[in-house]
Amino acid sequence: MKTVSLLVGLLFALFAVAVQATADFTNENVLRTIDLTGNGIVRSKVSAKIANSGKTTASAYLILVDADLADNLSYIAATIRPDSKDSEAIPLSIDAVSDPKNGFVTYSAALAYPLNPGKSAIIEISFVYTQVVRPLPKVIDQNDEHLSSGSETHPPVGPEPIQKKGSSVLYGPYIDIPAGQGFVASVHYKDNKPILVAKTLSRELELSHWGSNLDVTEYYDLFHRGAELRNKLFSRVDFQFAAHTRGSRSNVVEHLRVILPPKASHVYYRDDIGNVSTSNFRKSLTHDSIMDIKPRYPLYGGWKYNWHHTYDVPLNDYLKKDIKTGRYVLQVLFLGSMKNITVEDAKLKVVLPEGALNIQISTPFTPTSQIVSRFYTNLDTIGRPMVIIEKHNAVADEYAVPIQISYNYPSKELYRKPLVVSAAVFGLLLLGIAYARLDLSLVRDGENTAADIEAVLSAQREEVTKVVTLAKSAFDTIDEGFEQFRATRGKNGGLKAFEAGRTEQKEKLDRCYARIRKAGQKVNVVGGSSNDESKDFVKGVEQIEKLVKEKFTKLAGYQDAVVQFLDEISAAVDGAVDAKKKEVLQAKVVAFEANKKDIDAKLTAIFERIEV
Amino acid sequence: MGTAKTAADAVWLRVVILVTIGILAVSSRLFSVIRFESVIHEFDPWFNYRSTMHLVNKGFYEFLNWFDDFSWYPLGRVVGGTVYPGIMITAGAAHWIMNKLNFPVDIRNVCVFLAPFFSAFTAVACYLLTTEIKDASAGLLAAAFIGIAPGYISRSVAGSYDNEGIAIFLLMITFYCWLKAFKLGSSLWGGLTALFYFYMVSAWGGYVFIINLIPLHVFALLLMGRFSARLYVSYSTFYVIGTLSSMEIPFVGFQPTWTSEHMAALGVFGLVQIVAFVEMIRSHLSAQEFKSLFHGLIAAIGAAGVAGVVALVASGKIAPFTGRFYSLWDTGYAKKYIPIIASVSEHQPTAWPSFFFDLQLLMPLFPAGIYFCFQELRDEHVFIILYAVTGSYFASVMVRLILTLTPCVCIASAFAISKILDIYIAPPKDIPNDEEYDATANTKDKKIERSKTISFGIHEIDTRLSVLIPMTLVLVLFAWHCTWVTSNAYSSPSIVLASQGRDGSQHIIDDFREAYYWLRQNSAPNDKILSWWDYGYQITGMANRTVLVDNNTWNNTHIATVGKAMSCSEDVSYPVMRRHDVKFVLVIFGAVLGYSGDDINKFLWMVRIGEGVYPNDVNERKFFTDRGEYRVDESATPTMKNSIMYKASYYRFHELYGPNGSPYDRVRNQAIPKKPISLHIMDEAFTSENFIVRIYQVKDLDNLGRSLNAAASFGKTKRKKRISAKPVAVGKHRNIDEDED
Repeated sequence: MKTVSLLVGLLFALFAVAVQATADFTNENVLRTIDLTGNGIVRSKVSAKIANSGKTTASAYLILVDADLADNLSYIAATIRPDSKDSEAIPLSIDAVSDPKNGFVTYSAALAYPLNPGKSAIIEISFVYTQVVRPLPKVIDQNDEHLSSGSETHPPVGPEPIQKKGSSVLYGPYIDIPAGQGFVASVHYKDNKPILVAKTLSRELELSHWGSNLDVTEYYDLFHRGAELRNKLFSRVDFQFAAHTRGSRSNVVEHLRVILPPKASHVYYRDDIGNVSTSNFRKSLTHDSIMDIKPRYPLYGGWKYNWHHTYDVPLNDYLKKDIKTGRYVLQVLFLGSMKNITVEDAKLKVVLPEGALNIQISTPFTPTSQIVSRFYTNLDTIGRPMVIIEKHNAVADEYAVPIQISYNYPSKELYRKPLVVSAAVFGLLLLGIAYARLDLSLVRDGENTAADIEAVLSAQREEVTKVVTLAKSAFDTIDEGFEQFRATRGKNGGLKAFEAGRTEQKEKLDRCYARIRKAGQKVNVVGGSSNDESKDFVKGVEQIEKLVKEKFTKLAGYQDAVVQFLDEISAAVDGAVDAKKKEVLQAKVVAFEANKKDIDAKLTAIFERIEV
Repeated sequence: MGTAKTAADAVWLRVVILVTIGILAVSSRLFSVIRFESVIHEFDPWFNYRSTMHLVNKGFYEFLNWFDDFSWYPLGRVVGGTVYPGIMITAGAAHWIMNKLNFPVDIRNVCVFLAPFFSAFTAVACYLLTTEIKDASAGLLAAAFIGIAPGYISRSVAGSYDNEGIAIFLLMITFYCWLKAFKLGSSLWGGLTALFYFYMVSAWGGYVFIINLIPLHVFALLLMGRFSARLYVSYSTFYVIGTLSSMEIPFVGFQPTWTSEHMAALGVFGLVQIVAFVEMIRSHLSAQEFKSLFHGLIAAIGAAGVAGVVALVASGKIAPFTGRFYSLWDTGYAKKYIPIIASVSEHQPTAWPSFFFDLQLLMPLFPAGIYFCFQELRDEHVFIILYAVTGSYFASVMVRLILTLTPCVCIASAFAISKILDIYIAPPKDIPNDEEYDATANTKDKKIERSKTISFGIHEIDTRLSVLIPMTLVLVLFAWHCTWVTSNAYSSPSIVLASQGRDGSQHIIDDFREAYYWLRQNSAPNDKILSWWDYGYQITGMANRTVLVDNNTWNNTHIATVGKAMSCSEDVSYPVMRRHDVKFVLVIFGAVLGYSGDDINKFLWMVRIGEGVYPNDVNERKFFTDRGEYRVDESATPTMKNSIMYKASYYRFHELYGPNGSPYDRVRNQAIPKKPISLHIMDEAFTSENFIVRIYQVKDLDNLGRSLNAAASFGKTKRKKRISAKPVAVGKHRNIDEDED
C-alpha cells in the first residue's frame, strides 16, 4: 500500500475580535491570511479596518485568541496606521490581559494614538502558532510522501471553501459576525517539508574584552515531528536506492543548513559522542557564513537528533561603548542560525566579562524568565556575571530579534587577570624557594658526620702521600742533576742544563704545594675546627708545605754556593783552590746537611702524625 | 663556591632536559587527536570513561557503590567491586582540582589526555630509577627512550584511556622507591614503595608483577648471601604496609591472603624473618652451637612452611591459579580450555618481529645493558637483571606484555649507551696535572697508581668521532622509527576508519558512531541490545543502552549464551533472545566496505565459546564445509546459512548489487548467493551508511503472525524446529512466511 504523507494544518477560530469595555469597535473590513508554508509553523496575519463606533475615545484594542490555541501561540505583534494611503505603520505594545474567559484569552494592544469616536484606522496583527500542524497519516513507509493537515475541534464545522486557486484556499466573505464567533476549518495537504521542533535550544555566548572575541555555542535538541516510519524500521538498501528519486518527495532530513554571522571562525560541529566530520562550512566576511551539516543519520519523522556547534566572531561587531555614559552595550540576537524551527524551550546565556557591573537587559518580547547569575571559568577569581533569558514556545525566525545588554566595565578590571596570574606564579615561586630552603632532615646538612670526615680525611691523606712522594722524587731529580753537574765540572754547558732542570723541578714543587694546600682546604671544609684529627691534618699540611719550601731554599742556596765555588776554581788561572774559601764552603755543606737532616726528620714526624 | 654554582646549573640543565622530554613524550602521543579528534578511540576504554563520568557526576561514594544495570543484563555489574578504580579516580581528581582552580576542563578531555601526561611522568620515574642504577646521564637517556618507545606508546596515545596508561608510571615509581628503600634501609622509602604499590593495585591487575618481582629480588639477594638489615627493614615495611593497603581495594579484597599469586611475597616475608632471626642468633652464639641449631631447628621451620603452603594449595584453602595465569606458562592452554581468553588478539603469543617493531634499536642494546649489569652486579643491578628475565618471558608469551618489558629495555639500553658515551664523549677530568706528574713519576719511581678520574677516556678526536657519529646516526634513526610507528600503527583510532580518496583527501567512515548515536537517540531507554562482547563497552558508553555482554569477560556462560544466540538458527535463538528481553540485535558487517574486523570473521570464536557451554546446540564442525573450509558463499554449510549471524549480516546484501549484479564479499573474497534471505524473528531497524553496523529489532511474540496467542507462537516455534533440522525444509518454510506477510 502506497501511503501518501499529509500534513494537517489548522485554520482556527476565524476572527480576532475586538471588544472594548468603554468604547465599541467595529471591524469594518477584515482580511485574514494564514500561511502554512513554514515547516509546520502557522503564520497568520489579520488586517482589519477598525472604526470606533462607541461614544468615548478608545486607547486600547482587545484581541481574542481561542483558549485552545493559546498555548500554541508563540508570537503576537500588531501595528496601526491611519486609514489613509502611504501612512506609516506604528508598532503597538501588546499585553496579555487575563486568564481564559469564555473560551478566549485576551490581549490588549495599546493604541499608539487615541482613536476618537467615529474615526477609523487600519490595524495589522501577526500571530505565529506552533505545533498545530500534524501529519496525517501519522505513520508512513520509508520512501513515501508526506502530507499534513490542519485540525479539528470546535463546532460547528465550517463551510466549504469558496475557491481553491493554486496552492491557496479562499474562504468568505462572511458578513455581520458578532464578536467571539467563528468556525474551525481544517486543511489536508501535501507537504514534504520536515516539521522540525527543537525541544531545547540553548545559545551560550561568552565575551572576552581581552581577546576581543565573542564565543558562541548553540545546543540543539531536535525532533522531527513529521510522519513516523512504519514500526520505526529503516532500511539502508531502500534509502540508497531512493537516493536519486527521493528528491523533495520525502520528509527525511539529510542536511541542515546553519546560518552563522559574517566573519564566523573556529567552527566546530559536535554531539554527545564526539566530532561529526560531515559538515561543510563556507565563510564570508560580508554576508552570512553558511554551515551545512549532515546529521549522523538521516533524520526521519519521529527521530531525534541533538548536537551543538561553536564559532567565534569579532566582538567589535556586537559591542559598542557609549561615549557619554561610558557604558558598554552588547547587542546580540536571541535566536537565529536556523530557519523555520519551532523551539519549545529557548535559552540565551550571555557570560559577561569578569567585573562587569550594573547590568541592564532590554528585550523586545516578554521572556519567560530572566536572571543574572555567576559563572566561573578560566582564571576567574570573583566569577563572571551570566545573563540567562528563557522563552517558552518560540519560533526561530520571529525570535531572531536583538537583545541589548548594557553594563559598566571599569578599565582596571582588564588588569585583574594578568595580576592574578602573576600573583599565582609568584606565589608558586615563593613556595618553591621556601621548599628549597626548608630542611626537614634530622641531621643538618652543614654538620658532617664523623664518617664523612673520615672519608674525606683518608682520601686527602692518600693525596698528601702521593704529593710527598712526588716532592721527594723532585728533590731526587735535582740532586741527580747536581751530581751530574759536579761530575762533569760544569763542562759543555752543564751549568745551564742543571739550572734548567732545577727550575723545572721547582715548578713541579710549586704544583705540589698547590695540591697540598687544596687537600688541606678540603679537610678544613668538611672537618672544620670541630674535629681534632682534621685540625691536626690541616696544621700538618701547612707545616709540610713550609718545610718543603724551606728545604728547597736551603738546597738551592747550598747548590748555588757550590756552583759559585766551582766557578771561581775554574776562573783561577792556575786552577788553585783557595783554602779559605774551601773552608767556608765546607762549613756551609755541613750546615746544610744538618739542616736537611733536621727538615727531613721534621717532615717524617709530621707525616707520620697526620697519616695515622 | 664555583663548584656549587656549576652543580646547580647541572640540576637546572637536567630539569630542562626532563621537561623537554616530557613535552616530547606528550606531543608524540597526540597524532590521533590532531588527525581526528579529542575522543576516546578504542573499544575497552569506553567503560573507564563511562565510570569516570559516573564518578564525576555522582561523587566518590556513589561510584564505589555503583551497580551498573546497563551491562551483563540481566545480571548487572557491581562496578565498585569489580573494577580497578585507579584511573577513574586519577582522572576524577585531576578534573576536580582543575575545576577548583577555575580551569573548567571537560572530563572527556581529561580522560583523553591523561595517558600522554602520565607518559611524561613515566619518563621522570625512569630517569630516577636509572639514576639509581648508573647516573644522571644514563637516566636522561632512559627517560628519552621511554618517552618515545613504541612499545609504551601503543598503550598511551591520547584517546586510549586504559589502565596501562597510568600503570606503567606507577610500576616505575614503585620500583624506584624500592631501590631507594633497600639501598638506604629506610622505612620511609619502604613506606613510599608501599604507597605507590597501593596506587598501582588500585590501577591495574599487573600489580601482581610487582608483588612477585620484589620478593624475587629479595630472594635472589638472600641466595647471593647479601642479606642485610637494610634489606630486612625495607622489605618488611613494604610488604606489611603494601599488603594491608592493597586489601583496601574492593576488587582485590582478601586475595593477598589466599591466592597463589600472592604467596611468593608472603613466603619471602617469612623467609626474611627467619633469616633475620638466624642472623641475630648467630651474633649471640658460637659458631659450633649455631651450626647444630641451624641444621636442627631452622631447616625444620623452613620445611614446615613449604609443606604448609603445598598442603593449603592442595586442600584448596589457597586458591589454585586462574586460567589467565596458566596461559602465561602454557601458551597452548588457553586455546584448549578458555576460548574467551584465546579469542582476544592481545593475549596471543608475541611474534618476533613485533619486538623489533616496538623496540627497534633498544632490542640489540638490551642484552648489552644487561651485560653491564652483570659486570657491576650491585644489588640494584640484580633487580634489573631479574626484571629483564621475567619481563622478557612474559613479553614473549603475551603480546600486550611487551608493555611491561619496555621500561626495563629502555633502562638497560640507556645503561649501555651511556657507558659508550661516557667513554667517547666525557672529557677526562683534571687530567693535565696528574698526567704530567705521573708521567715523570713513572719514569723515575715504581709505577704510581693512576688517579681514578682518569681511568678511561679516549683522547684522539678521530677515534671518538668514528664511534660517536654512527651512534648518533643510530639514535636518530631510532627516533625516526619511533615516530613513524607511532604515527602509522598506533594512532589510528578504532571507532572511526579513515580512507583516502584518489585525490588524497581524507574521508572518515564513522559508521560505528552513526549507529550508536541512532540507538542513543531513537531507541527506548530500557531496550536491551544483543551483540558480541567486543562492542559491549562502546554500546553502553556511546549508545547509553543495556547490553547482554561486554568486554569485561568474567562470565563465560553468559558470553556462550550470546554466542549460541548468534550461531543458532532463528528458531533456536528466538527463545534465548526473548528470555533475555532482547530488543535489538547488533552485528558488525564489513563485506560492503572491506572492513576485516567484522563479526563474520570473529564468528568462529562465538561458535567455539558457545559450543563450550552448549555442545548440543552448537557444533563448530558444522560451520565448516566438507573440505574443512570456512565459507560464506554458495558452498557454505546449511548451519552457517541458517545462523542468525549469517542472516543478519547478509540480509538484503545482494540487493545492493542490483538485479543483474553479482554480490561479492570484499572481506572474504567470496561471491554471496543471490537467493534472498528471509528473517522471521526480527526486522531490520537500522543500517549504517556503509553497512558496517546493522541493527535488527526482535519481533514481539504477537507479531509472529498467526495468532496473538502466545501458546500458538510457541507451538509454531516447535514445529519449525522439527522442520529446520532438515536443510531442505528451509526453502519451503520461507514460502510459508512470505505468505503470511
